[in-house]
Amino acid sequence: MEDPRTELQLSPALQEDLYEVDALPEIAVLYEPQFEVLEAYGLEASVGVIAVLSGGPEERVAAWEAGAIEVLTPDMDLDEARVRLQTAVARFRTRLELEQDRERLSAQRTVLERNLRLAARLQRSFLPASLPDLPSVQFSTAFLPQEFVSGDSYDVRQLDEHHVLIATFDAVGHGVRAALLTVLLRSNLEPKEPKGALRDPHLVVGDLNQALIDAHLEEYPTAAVCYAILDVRSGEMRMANAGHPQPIALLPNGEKRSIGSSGLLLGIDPMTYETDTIQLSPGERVFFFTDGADPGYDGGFGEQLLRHRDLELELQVGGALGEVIELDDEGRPEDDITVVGLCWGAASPSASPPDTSTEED
Amino acid sequence: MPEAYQAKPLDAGRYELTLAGRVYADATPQLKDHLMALADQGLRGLLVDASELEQIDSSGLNVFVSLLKRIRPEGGKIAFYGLNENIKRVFEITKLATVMKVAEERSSALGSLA
Repeated sequence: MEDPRTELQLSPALQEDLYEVDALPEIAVLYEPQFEVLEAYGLEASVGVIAVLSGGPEERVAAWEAGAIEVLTPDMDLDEARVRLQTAVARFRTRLELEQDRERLSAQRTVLERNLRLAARLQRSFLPASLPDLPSVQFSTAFLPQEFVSGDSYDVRQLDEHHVLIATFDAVGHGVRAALLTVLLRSNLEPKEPKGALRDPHLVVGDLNQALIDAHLEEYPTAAVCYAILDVRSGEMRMANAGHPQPIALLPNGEKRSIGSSGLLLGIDPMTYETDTIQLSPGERVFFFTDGADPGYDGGFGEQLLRHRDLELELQVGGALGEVIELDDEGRPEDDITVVGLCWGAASPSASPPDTSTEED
Repeated sequence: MPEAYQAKPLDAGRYELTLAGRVYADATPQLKDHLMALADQGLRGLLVDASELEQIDSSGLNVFVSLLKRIRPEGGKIAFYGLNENIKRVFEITKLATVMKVAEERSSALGSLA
């Protein structure tokens, strides 16, 4: 049986004490404990060192502690030495590959996170840059994605001089797929006829339903939507709902009601939805919210809105959410959350749009 | 996948699935794959025992919507029984109760799959 060092096809010695083992240059064999050589030759911590020592236990311990992946002695049975070497090299290679995989995955993760952050910025760019600034109605919104991007979305915008659109969307699931589904829904939102007349909410929602059915998406994703048009002169709100939690309306005296009816989730069957008409009273607040704000479906969010009704609209929304939402170990909500609140017949100026303008008297 | 999420055959293409605890997004891919595989093997009726089910999110519900769309063209149906009040409310709000049977008792749910 040959000397295992010969069997392992050693390249010319870098010096008499240093041998290359196998085709992997990172693995070196030291005949004597010359661990300083590691630094001198610039060998990194990932180098696997097999020490062949003639010394005693102390030297062998030193070799292990210095990071040798195997320690042999010259008097070792050659078969045993060969198996030890082969096992050590295989083990080291596996570890090296795992480390390289980890670095590769880490780099991929960095790229993925960068892309997700960009996607999140893009998604937010679809949201209203500002809320309608009107004397008769005040708005406030909350948008809390569970991940970088959200399966929720919302829209609040003036359609014409007298009407404001309010819509909240909740696509099944979380993350990129759900976020893209909200893009599909938003792109199919047609509040007006070609000549400019406002369409009835049930027709708008019906079209969204058909658009999702016609998309023939894999795994048949569904979505919920609540769509409303508020007449800012009269406080009449017309709305249609597909599988969405019913909005909650609160009067200043503390009366609470769920408003509108609900229809089938989008994307399941062709449906004829209904348009409900609700007349708001002066000072009445209405809250549209996705199910992430009411995780137990037990009306907890409505109760908290009631408890915080003496606060300004924005603080009322924040205060209520703070009581009901659950956070995971990383401080993220367990589900996407979206809330759109309005106060009809607000005496105070409308809520300032995000990052813009100053409040006027 | 938890054993509780394995549907057991009843007869003639009908299976029974027991759900317990919380069915959230992390569990749904395996559950969906399992049920879709059964659909490929002839599942045409799914009876869901939800008496131990505490909560289910939209991803969980979508598992059953996907299955329903898969089996309904061949006359397939899904029926739930034993839902708690909160989950019943979910079925009412989403109107899923109009496309899937929701019953108080097992016998009534099973009968709807005939």
